[in-house]
Amino acid sequence: MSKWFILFISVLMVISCSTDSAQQQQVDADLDVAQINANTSEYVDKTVSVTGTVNHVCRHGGKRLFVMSDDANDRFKVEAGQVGSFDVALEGSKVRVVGVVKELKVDKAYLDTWEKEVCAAEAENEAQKFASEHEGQDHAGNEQADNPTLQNINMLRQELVDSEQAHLSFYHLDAISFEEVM
Amino acid sequence: MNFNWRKWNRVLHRDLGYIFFGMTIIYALSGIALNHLRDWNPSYDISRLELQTDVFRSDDSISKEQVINFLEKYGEERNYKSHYMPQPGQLKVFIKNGNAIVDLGTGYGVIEKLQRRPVFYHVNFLHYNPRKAWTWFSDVFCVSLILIAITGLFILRGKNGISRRGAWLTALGIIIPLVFLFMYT
Repeated sequence: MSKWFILFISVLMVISCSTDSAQQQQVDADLDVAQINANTSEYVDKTVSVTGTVNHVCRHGGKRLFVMSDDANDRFKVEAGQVGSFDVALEGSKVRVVGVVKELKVDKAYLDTWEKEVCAAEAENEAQKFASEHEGQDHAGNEQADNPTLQNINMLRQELVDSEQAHLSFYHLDAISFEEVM
Repeated sequence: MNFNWRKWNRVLHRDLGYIFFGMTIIYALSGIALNHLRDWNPSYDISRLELQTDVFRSDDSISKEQVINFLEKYGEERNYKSHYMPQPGQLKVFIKNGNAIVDLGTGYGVIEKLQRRPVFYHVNFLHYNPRKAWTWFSDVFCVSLILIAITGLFILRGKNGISRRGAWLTALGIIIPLVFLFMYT
């Protein structure tokens, strides 16, 4: 059994070592943060590289980061994707990330479903809190005022109305590889 | 020829147990870490130093020299990486393994330093890091864990075996999660 296990580990190592670095990846466009922000819809589902300074890395697990332009006026979200996770130590470093641009379309149906899920979770939390505290008061009601997610949903609803479009678009880069650049 | 299934059951249980000892510890530790995600950051120990500074007299444009001068007081001058102004009147400085934010109007600031937690950072990294090869390896581990559990039921015979004491304890181990399931759904 140990022979098979060693063989299995060797195969895994070969697979993991064969991943291309950011330098080797073929890309449709080499962009900086301002350039991708200017024409994001043009690059949806295309493989591009984005170069910028890491502004923030998600503290719990490093699943996403934000890169910003040199003048700090533009930001772009990068999901770890095939990279797995980003180290917080990257904050403040200039990186070149290669990945596929993805679009999240947020329409009325999306917001309705989201709101329903948030309200259901909220109701469940309230019920548990109520049961554990044994209080005789009515806890229903003022969810919207307290819950930041519901406030966010309402904000997006307003943004959707103001845009006069069928949906709002949010973009991110699904990372394939990255490298620190000087 | 008789197939001695109990022998092969023991061999499978023993060898998979040895091979995946390390993985079991990794997933158990990261499981504890993730269970308490609301209470702590399992990957980093984050320290905050509140400060008051008068180094920055104007918020027009802050030079690298000014920032390094500011960092000197806190022994961080060698750790400078870059800086920018996220909004007028606010300075953010990136330093090695941390950052500093200063309100240029009041001079109040905070230096945040992050230090990787030994062991927990690494087990969490593996748990969160689904690269292809690792995903396959951990899938093999998960299947093996099921095999270890099933083969474990049939290791012993007699009064401590699965037909007597083992049956009660196994049932208890299944009932407990079911009770939580009914409670929470």
